[in-house]
Amino acid sequence: MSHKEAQKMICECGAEMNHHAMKIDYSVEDHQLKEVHTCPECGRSALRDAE
Amino acid sequence: MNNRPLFIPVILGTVRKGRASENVAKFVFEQVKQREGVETELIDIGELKFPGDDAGEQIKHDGFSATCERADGLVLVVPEYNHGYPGMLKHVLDSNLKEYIHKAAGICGVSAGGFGGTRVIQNLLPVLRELGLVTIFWDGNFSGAQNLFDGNGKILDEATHVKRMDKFLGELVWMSKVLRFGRENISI
Repeated sequence: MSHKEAQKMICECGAEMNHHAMKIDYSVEDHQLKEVHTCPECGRSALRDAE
Repeated sequence: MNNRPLFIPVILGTVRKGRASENVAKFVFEQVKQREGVETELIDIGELKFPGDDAGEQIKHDGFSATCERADGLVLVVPEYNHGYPGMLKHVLDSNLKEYIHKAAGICGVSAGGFGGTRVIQNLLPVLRELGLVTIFWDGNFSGAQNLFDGNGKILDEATHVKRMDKFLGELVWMSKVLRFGRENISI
């Protein structure tokens, strides 16, 4: 299991989310790099700070 | 792959009074509705009432964001104003971030002249790319928009436009399915 897979985000519906993109958030002053995750069960998306 | 139906809303991208694009959006919406396995809704950005004193995610509209998050693809019906896209459409699109990423998008250009909104389509493509959307390479082109519909909003040359929309939606549905599979199953 890769490092990233060991840190799967968990959706509000309980399913493990899939990390499929990186996105720069230009709305914050220091242009934060974010990971984009999507839930395979309900389709919800979520961001978290990239390491 | 998840068995949820695809959700592909149609966005009417102008708030201008007397807009010819409204009939186009309704026609496109009806075409999407007829696709098996696809759910849709028509979003009129004029009804969203976005404020004009701020921009970006700070003015997020809960309903619009939830719709975009649920969406697997988007159809944008966009008039060409002075060779560009309506500023209000950009204002609305900029209110989301994660909601668009790796989702399919197709553009239906609308123009009074004879080029079917090709210039607005070309101008909008880099915006959609930066938003994280994946554009298809079929477009909808609606030239002479003021003469395309009768007084009841029925399109006059229906056969031609239905055929074109069939190709457009065929690719959009394919791209929406492929990207959903990718979002759900393929990690970077």
